Amino acid sequence: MHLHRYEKYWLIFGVGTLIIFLSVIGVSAFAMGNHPPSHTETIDPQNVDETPPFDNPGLEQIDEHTYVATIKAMTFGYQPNEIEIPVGSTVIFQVTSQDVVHSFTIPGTNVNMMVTPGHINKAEHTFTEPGSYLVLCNEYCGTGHHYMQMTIEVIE
Amino acid sequence: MSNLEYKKSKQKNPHTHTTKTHEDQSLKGTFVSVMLLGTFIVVAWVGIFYLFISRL
Repeated sequence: MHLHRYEKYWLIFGVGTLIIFLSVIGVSAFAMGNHPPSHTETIDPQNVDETPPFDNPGLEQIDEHTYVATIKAMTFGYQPNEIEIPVGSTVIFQVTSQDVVHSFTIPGTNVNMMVTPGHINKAEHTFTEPGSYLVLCNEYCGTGHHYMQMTIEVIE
Repeated sequence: MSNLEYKKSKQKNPHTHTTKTHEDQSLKGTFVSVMLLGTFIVVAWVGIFYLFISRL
């Protein structure tokens, strides 16, 4: 097969960038653990209130700088509605919905996940700056969607 | 050119169609277009990846 000189150049360019993109994503996924917030854990959406850990939602400290926040999303709010953590903490959010599809989004961070009934989704974030962080629902979930929010207070 | 016109012209001059050889064709414009599109894709990809990393 004969290829024009320019065709060779752009094929090399295309294949090269593809290899670079896939390598960067592969290393960041498998060596650094970056992944989308989906999770394979499931839950009966009819019995969220009785199923651990969602029977007792809230913040739990698992080591010196790491917390697990168990949060229920519902029309039109989150339970708990506010959590407080010291600056520098890493929080693992595990969230489920007891009714319709919601989202759990902290603007300005990579925490932006769908919360689907029947599934437990997880996201992790380290809060390095003190302040009040707003959590929003960005999946339209009903007439009170725009009221659905909670806050994370990061204190010194 | 409609199908009918094409058939007629072919009947009149069946051997008028000449092809340039592959290397003779100028692909400079195509090359520039491909590289511009490639550059756009690379810049967009790097930008989005940087945004993700900077927010970790």
